[in-house]
Amino acid sequence: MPVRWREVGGRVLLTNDAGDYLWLDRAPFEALAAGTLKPGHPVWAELARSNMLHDPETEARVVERIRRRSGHLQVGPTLHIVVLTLRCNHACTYCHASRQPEKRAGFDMSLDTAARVLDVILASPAPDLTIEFQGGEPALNFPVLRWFVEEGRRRVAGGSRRLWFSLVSNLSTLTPAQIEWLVDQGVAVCTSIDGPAELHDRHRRIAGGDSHRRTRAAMARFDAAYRRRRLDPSLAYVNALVTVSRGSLAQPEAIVDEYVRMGQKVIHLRPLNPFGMGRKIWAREGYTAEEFLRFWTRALDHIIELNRQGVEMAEKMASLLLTRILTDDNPNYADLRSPCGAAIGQLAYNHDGRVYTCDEGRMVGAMGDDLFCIGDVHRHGYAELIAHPTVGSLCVSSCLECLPGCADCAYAPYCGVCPVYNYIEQGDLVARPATNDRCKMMLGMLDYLFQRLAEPGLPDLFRRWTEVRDRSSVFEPRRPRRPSPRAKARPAAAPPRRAKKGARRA
Amino acid sequence: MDPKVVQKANGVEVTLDEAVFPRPVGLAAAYRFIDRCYVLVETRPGKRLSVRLESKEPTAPAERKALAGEFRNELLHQLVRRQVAERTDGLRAAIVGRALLSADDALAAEASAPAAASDPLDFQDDPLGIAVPWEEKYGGKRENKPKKRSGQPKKR
Repeated sequence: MPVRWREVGGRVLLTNDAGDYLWLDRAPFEALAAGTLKPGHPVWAELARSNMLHDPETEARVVERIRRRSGHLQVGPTLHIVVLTLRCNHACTYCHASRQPEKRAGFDMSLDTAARVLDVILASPAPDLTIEFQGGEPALNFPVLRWFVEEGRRRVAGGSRRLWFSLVSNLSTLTPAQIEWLVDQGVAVCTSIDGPAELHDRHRRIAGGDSHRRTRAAMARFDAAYRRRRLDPSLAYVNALVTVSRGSLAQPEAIVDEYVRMGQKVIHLRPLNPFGMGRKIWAREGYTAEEFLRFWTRALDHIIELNRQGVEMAEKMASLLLTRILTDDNPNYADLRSPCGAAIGQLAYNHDGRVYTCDEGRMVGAMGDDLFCIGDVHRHGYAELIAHPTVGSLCVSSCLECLPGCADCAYAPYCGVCPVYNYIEQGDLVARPATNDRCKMMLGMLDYLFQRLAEPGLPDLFRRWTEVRDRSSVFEPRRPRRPSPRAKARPAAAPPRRAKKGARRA
Repeated sequence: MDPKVVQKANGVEVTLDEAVFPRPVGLAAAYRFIDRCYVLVETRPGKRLSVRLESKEPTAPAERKALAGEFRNELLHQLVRRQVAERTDGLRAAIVGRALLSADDALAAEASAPAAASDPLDFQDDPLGIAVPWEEKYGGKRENKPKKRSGQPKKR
């Protein structure tokens, strides 16, 4: 079978297209490469077990697994990012969303635009659709958010399609009534906690300087609302993620410990995005790939140690990569698939109706470069948007199997590229991997995970990180406990039964 | 050694053997420098291509050396990109085609429908009346009416 290889820590790692891997010492690898390794050699049986040797049965098995691992090629855009407003009550030091002041007019999505956005979303052929509200601070345009949820549910009622909602918010403007409504409607919620209060408040600036306290208070109100509805606390909770800035680099353990204190089971250590306003302040907040990797590996060492002490915790990026390494499941994460999710897996809708291939493309648009804008909901329908030539260009330039550097990389079965990142950082949709910081980060993370996987006990521990619990029961609208006969007579709202496994941030 | 590099007043001149670096590779590499250099490309005898990069800003000798190095690296990138693209042409068409079809319901239906079963017309049919003279379509006079072909719509 075609195999790829990479030297890691003095040994050679072999991988195949189905994601199988095998460690070899240098001598048998050289014999294999030279064609002098013969049946009967102890390594021969290991190669056969790992699906590295060609025979018709192995080929059929590998093809079937590749099909399963490439399930994202069959579904179309599932994630629809709707920017409800550019206004925000925070002024984060690393903001990349071209925020506008909270009181400034003209940056909210109107109901007319929202109606056209919903038409486009529902024209997507994907059976499962997730509408993710972003901003700015999307909760500042709550009436339109509410309209999307109610009208979206009404439009899919009685059909076979499943519609999920997710709110990415700092939570600080939500009223108790809005929180109750979001829980009742089964809207998944994701927020940002950058670590302990001092670190968080230094970067996530708000009048009063108490962003951490406000967000934590809102999270507590959500928890209470979930408890009142007797929802399983291991399933019903607000997701949180960390944006790693320069100030974070020295304290990975403290950041992880903050998430343990919050009762979170997963922490997403997200590197700072160089797009948009983030690029302008990169000199102050930014760091090299090597610095991020030192931070990330220290955090993972700490999480693994906590796991050994019985604390449940996983890192999101590692979980996604381990899912690709240890299972044939497809998390359909836009950044870790080939081709990437731009347009064919997700679409991003700006507050004014402009449609972008992805949220990263929208951020480039906020910098004044609309290369990744594929139309406008006021003028174009879904089919026209998908037929835009930029969509095809992004597909071709993110098809890992066909890219210089990636096509022969041992990590191709697990990795993904971001053409928008390459465009911003290297002036071309196709990366120059040797000098590409994102590529360095991915290589570093995968090197770390594979080296740890070679340690006794770690594969079992890491396998637990790949287990995704079905949280769909939390993200469906709550029904009255004792429905009246009249309510029973109404058409069924067709609440979704199962969440799409690995749905982004849900 | 190939490519041959010569330092010029405010830049470098690199001469390529097109047997090693085909012309599209040299041009693609040169194109990457047009934001910071004035680029002159000329053919040379013996299937060679000369690329002259003249910096838009004044440069020191060390910067010119770095410029030549960057250009050589870019040449290699473009060469490998071309080779990988040629090697994986069929795979790319399959993966990208599948991804685009899945995102477009109408295209997917069209692609999966058997052509013969869904299209009973032969090449002489004209269901949209494209071959019908406009005079005939819209009531104008015409002396010689064309012979009616199979599948041609009835005159209004």
